Amino acid sequence: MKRRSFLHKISHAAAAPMVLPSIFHQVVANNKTTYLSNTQTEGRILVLIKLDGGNDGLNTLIPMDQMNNLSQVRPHVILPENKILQLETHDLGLHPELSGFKSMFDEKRLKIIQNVGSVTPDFSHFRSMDIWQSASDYDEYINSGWMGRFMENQHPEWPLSYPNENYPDPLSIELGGAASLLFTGNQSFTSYVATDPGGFHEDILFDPMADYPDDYLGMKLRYIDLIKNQSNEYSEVIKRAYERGQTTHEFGNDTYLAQQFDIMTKLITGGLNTRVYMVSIGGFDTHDTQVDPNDHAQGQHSLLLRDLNQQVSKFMLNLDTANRSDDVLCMTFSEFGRTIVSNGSRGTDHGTAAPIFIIGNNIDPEILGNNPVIPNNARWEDNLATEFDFRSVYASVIDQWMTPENPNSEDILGETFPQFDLLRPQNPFDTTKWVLYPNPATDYLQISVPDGITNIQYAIFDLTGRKHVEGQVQTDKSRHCVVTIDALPKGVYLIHVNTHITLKFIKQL
Amino acid sequence: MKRFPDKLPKDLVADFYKQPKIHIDRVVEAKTTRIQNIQNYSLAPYSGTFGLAERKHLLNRTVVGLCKRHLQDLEGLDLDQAIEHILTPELLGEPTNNYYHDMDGAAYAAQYNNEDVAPGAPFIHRPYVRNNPGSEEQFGWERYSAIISWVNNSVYEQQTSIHWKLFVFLHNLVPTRCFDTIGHKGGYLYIKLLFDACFGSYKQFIYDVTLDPSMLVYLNLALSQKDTPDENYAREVQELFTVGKRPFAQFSESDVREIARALVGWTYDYESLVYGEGTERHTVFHEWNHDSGDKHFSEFYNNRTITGRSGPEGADELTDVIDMLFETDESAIYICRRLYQFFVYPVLNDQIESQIIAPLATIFKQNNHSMIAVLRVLLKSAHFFDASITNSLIKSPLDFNFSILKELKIPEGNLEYWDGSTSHKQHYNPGHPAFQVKNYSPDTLAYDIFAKHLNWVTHNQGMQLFSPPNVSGWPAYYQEPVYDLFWINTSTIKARKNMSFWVRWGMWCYSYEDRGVNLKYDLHRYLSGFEQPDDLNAFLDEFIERMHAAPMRTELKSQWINELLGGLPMTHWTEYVRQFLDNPTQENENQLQWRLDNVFFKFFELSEFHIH
Repeated sequence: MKRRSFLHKISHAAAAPMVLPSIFHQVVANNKTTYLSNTQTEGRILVLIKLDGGNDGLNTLIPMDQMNNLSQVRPHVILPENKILQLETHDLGLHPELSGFKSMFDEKRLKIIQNVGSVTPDFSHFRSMDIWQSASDYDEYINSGWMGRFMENQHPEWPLSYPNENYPDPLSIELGGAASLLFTGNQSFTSYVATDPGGFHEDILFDPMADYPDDYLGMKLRYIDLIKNQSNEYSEVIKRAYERGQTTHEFGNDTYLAQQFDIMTKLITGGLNTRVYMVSIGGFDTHDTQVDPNDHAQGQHSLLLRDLNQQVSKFMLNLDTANRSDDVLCMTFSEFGRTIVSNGSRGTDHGTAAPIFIIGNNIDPEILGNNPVIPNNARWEDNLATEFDFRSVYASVIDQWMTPENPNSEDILGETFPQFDLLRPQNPFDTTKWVLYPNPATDYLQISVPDGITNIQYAIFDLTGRKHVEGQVQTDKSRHCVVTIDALPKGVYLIHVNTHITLKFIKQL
Repeated sequence: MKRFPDKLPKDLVADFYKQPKIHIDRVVEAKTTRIQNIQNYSLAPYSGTFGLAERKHLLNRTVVGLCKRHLQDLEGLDLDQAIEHILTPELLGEPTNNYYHDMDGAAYAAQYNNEDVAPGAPFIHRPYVRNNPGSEEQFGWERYSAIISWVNNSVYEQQTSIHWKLFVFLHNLVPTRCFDTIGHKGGYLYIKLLFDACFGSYKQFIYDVTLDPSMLVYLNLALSQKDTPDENYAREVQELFTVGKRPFAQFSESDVREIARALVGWTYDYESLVYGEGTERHTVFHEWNHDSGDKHFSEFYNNRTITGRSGPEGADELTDVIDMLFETDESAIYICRRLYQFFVYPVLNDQIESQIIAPLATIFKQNNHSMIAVLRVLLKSAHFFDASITNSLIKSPLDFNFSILKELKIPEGNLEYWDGSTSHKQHYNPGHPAFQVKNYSPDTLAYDIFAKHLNWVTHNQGMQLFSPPNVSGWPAYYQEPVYDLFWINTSTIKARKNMSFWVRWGMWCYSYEDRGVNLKYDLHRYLSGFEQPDDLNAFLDEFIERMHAAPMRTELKSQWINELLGGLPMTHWTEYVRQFLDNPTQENENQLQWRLDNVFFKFFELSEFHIH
């Protein structure tokens, strides 16, 4: 089957690493690193939210122009129209429980992509979840996850030389119970599974060998020893962050998802610089009793969405308070949507395409995709057509959010997928779009500037306010300026650029 | 673009640490090369020495948790005799009321309306008492726990037989969350069905499990409707329970739909199951909810048609479906492949497929789908005893925990009162105030050890019985390329460490401030079981040979011995041990036990103990 081409765009090869302090706080911009150059300093975070079981897209994001046909073909589960939360200017509505998602949509920090799936669907949970996690074609079997491959791609020495000085914190953390395929690399797992970071901590014993035997036994001994070492090191930093971390909007302890979000929030606010998290919530396999017979807005599915809605909303509020919400991108995914028609057990069966929700302060809030068309004579075997290959979402996330300075989604996904604009277009007057590096610097500074800036005027001050250097430089084709600082003494400086931008840097010798 | 060979790739373990950078053609390459140090691919009977190492390997793969008594049971037997010993079925008892003490008397009386069976008596035939119609679906936790403790206790007391390991195999291959929605009796029936199926026909088992209430619920057949048949069971019975996945088994989506149509109508009677007396499963076939049209299958099933039937004959279509599934070559190959991966090693290659799996599949079909017939050949084979196969697998949490419990016989140990403020320790004495807080009957202990402690640690270690992650079972048994590495991650390794605490500090029954009661293995009995307990080197060597997958470094062993002896010469150990064995007073025990345990627990924590 030929993949539908929607918005073809060669990835942002030239995009500069972006700095992310929000416009509401500090004028002095910290030079935040993008993905995975280290876990020493704050940087961008990706939160994957796995909905296990196959979420019913048609009862999550409702195509309002199809209500008549929907009521005909899925009478057992159709939502009452007057309770659906309408999205303004769109013929779309959200499930009544998704009030927080609705607010985030109004705040322009929710992006929705409709009809995402595998072009040729598979209806088995396991196979389909494997496909989503491994990012494979429907007929190929890949035994590593896309995030695992991403981590291994970025970290060829993983797990042998981790943690280390530059990467004291885990690269990725799973809050669920077990290490998943998603984070399974070709060589080992790439995630730290943190179920109880506040709990028991004592070093686990092991006896590293100089030379492990070259057989199954040697391989397993080596692996266990490695994980013991990593576990010891990571549990220390995690425990420290967790104890320091705070929540201003309490998650409570009522649901497993709430517990996971609570831990994750405390780790982030406690200063852990892990860049990828995954939380999961199960129960979406609503073959039966998806809705309450007396009120379709109630029932199993609504409880799940209520849980999701509460935790995601509180998470963003917590990070707003902590000034970190600019740094996160949350993305939901599930192995498939559900059938167009409902079944007699008040449920829906394994289907195909479904919407994906992406949340973040920097996202481009445009809703992508057309409303699905529901035939009024839909039958059991009819399914929604996939408009966006799920790997286009991954490619966009990798190249635009994770490694914009060095887009490499093709290496991770095995081929080039069309991308969409994940992030808001850059505003040349937005003070947050200026990036300064290296920092600390020795001989020169590079400043990467927004589109439309051809030269800059600058002045460098120390923290007592004394001016050391000033000048003017041209921007090169890739929108960089170079400022020489070899004459400066060692210390901390502020550089004022074009009068309205102030960046801080450290000069070292 | 086709990036991978059509064949299902097998494994990447050979490249575990070799690839510097992931590149897609390297992935392809990696998928075709792996550790290949298996020398022997023969199913012919193994003819080499059958000594301790071989007995250990055989037991590691066939009992749940190796320990000394299992090895003793095989002493003096030759390979044929040992195999026959292991392939002997066990008997299954019944869960009993050991939960009565878990609530205070009034709560217990209220819950059961004074109508429950007596403490210690079997309860499974008795329904929950419906004394609160408003909350009739709120099943008590206590009977669930009683059944869990019964299963775990049975595994602890298992004979030197493959029976319980085969039970775990079936539970992993055909899992349900059997306690989820239908209460204790549904869970019990599933467990009983699996236990009874181990030595029978796998085909008959699939027929039976299709109609098991917990399966009818777990994979939705119970709620399937004629006009909109539910496909869940129809898919998994093919993909996971019989013919396997693509690319081997090329069943189609329409085959899934047709099986769903053939099976619609089967359900169970909830009221009778949950609130009725006895242990019937109350499966029923509703003719009115059956699709009586013909069912047409794809080329994979030779374009077969199953004739649709109305009335009670509609129930026979299940038999036709099961026959059709088991007539495929793929079904025998798939089951033998899973048996091989579970009982030998999970990584497959072409030689294993052609020289091991294929002939086993023939045996499977010729012997009425008997797993035992297959295992009799496989476990006796030269291939099974290949040096690369022994000591090669990371223990499952069950093997890991039971090995500790059984080796040290912790559940049969001593209750101790511990007073940290005075470093005082004393054995159970019914008159002592510390022991009067709780009644420590054997019931209490079994419930606490097997339903609470053990169930919780296995949960944290990633393998809680009757709570599989999904219908595929636990990833360690199927997820390429990592398989058993899956058991070990930064979280589960911590949970495994907690087990070594049971060795060092005992299993805490309750504690307050720095005082409490714990259950500690019986040191006197444990040491007495060794050849030369008074020779510290010999004692540790015997332990390591039995329990570790590889000898430990000599330097490390010396270091730990030094720690144990506190720098004193070896003769002090000999003196302490002889004194204690001759005269097991509390005082003699105390001075030996803390010295030993401060170091001994490390032997259970070392990576060599995690592999078998």
